[in-house]
Amino acid sequence: MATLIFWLVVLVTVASAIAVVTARNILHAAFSLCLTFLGVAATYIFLHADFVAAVQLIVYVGGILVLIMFAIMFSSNVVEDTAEGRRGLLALGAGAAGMAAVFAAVLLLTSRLAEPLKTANPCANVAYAATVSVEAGQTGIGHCLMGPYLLPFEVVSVLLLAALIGAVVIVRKEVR
Amino acid sequence: MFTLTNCLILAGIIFAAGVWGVIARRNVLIMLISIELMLNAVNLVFASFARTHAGLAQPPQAHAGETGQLFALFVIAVAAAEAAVGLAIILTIFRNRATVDTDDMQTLKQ
Amino acid sequence: MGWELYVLKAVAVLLIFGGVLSVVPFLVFFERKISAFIQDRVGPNRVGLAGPDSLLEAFGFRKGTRRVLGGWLQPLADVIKLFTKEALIPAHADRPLYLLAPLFAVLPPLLAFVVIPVGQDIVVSSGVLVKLQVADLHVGILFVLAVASLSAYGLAFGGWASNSKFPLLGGVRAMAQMVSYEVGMVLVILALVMSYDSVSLRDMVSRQAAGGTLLGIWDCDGDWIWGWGLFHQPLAFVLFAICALAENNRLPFDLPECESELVGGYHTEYSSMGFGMFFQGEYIAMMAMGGLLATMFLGGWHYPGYAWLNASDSLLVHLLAALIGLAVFGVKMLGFVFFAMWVRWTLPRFRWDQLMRVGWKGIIPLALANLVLTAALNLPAPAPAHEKPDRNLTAVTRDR
Repeated sequence: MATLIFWLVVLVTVASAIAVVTARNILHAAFSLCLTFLGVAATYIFLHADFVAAVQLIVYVGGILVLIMFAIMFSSNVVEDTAEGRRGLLALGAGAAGMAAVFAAVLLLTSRLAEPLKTANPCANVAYAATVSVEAGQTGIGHCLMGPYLLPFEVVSVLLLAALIGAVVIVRKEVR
Repeated sequence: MFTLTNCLILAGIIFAAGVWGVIARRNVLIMLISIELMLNAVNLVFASFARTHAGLAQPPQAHAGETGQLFALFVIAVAAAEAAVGLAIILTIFRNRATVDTDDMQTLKQ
Repeated sequence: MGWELYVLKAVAVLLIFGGVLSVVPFLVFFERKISAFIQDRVGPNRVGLAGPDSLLEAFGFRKGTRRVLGGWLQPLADVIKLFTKEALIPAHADRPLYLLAPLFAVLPPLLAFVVIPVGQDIVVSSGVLVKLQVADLHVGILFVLAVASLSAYGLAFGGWASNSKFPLLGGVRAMAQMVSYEVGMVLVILALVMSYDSVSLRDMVSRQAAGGTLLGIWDCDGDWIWGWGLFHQPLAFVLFAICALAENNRLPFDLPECESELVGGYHTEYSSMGFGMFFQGEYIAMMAMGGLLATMFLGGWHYPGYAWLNASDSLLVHLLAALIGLAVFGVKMLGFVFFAMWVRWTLPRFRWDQLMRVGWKGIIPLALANLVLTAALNLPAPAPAHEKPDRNLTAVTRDR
């Protein structure tokens, strides 16, 4: 049953990820992106990273995607994408080739990686066993954030503040 | 089967889709969306390796893979900052030039 | 742990979802009755059972021309009407998104009910525990926030896909409003997570039921209601109630659908069940917010005398205590819904700039202040007994 659900999630994620790129209508792309984010969040849950899944939903779906939809709706004459018509199949074909190349590289890397992992790591290619408690991971994240990773945590908060101010400064109409 | 390899392949497909989008599309918004796809794929890789190594560790050193998840969280935070600034830039460009097509944004080249 | 787990969960989901969905038509009816009462009208009074009315009339209980029990079947009539109307799709609408959007309006608030504990655990016999909660997720309240962030999409996609001015404006407003108020809501909830020491809604309720030292300074008796979040987080309670109204697009904040400016807002172009689902989504979201409010601030299923009742050995009394808890939770949840209706028919609507000012310059700074205050008060609190830092700390040192 769990395997079935996993494959369903994978199917939805892959299909929507490809739909993001191929969609003519940019709002359809945004909708597919929403589905991809949901699929990735579901995969996080399979990976026992519940907290990351929740953050993924809150930040990506609740924040970033909403911002993107704002941008789409504010620049409303791009809803029907005219640029793609000019370039047409050529660009999509070239893109597909690029995608295939990248994917082949990933496959190659994965298989290269799989060998040492298999020797060092007996569970690399067997189904994940439920050896780890999710709760421990969650408290572990908290301890790490307040312990060894306190500095990166603070730096990220400063970065977010800087990005916030920067975005406001860029978008604001000039006041003389 | 739910294995590390399968998770990596899934992440690879998502990443490749993102690359495809950046190469093939000329709409800045779609390109930004594709970048988000790539970041998601990277996070997926972090989380799946974290899960694998958590399963590996023996009791005295057992951990729940929080380091990998932590990196995914940092990436998400940076992605949020990137999206905010990127969209601000796109909106400003749109306001000045009324276009979101990268082919029309080549004034620096000429 | 095989199929029976899935079956059990499916039954639990069906029970909760079915229960919530069947209450909605009655809420619509109550809203109409309450609005009629506030505006000194009669309200729906035609569709109903003739029997009790004529009986009352026969005994001389009829007050003027008002029928005492008329209108109680109005919900049924409404549902039949919505189902049998023709579902129109505007000619230039974006078909797939137009059809999907109502689903996005209904599903997220329903999903929020998955983690809300509607009652205490019932110990049927030693070791057999029935939880009155579909799933006690580790991420708890974060899950609610995650699905709540989804609900803006139903409105946004619905407004955009209709391909019409007013719905589009409604959709854009809905997104802006929900994102703005979600920030404030998250900050409010963070303070609560700090003071309860947990993100699990179930732990929050048991913490309130147990009383004890809250906030490091507040010693309270769990038996009476002083352990409830309302008393040690009063500011958070008020802020959360305001944010909840704004998240649900209820009246002082109903700019996405304000009739005087946008016809009907995001659902202008919807008819039949498309409209019905948007409408339902609004009421379900109200109930979900009410459930959240009851769980975090009003002690969930906890009520005074619960401990005394629960101390009994008898299974029957135990069940009774749980049932009363269930009813108490329902009353608290619907109490918020009533409050929302009351506010709706009392207050005028905000202007758009006022709405944004309240959100960004009012609620967020106050919520931040509340957060800092809670953190400061929590600082000297001794480590709770259930904390087990040893295992995690070794992991941390190893990682370094």
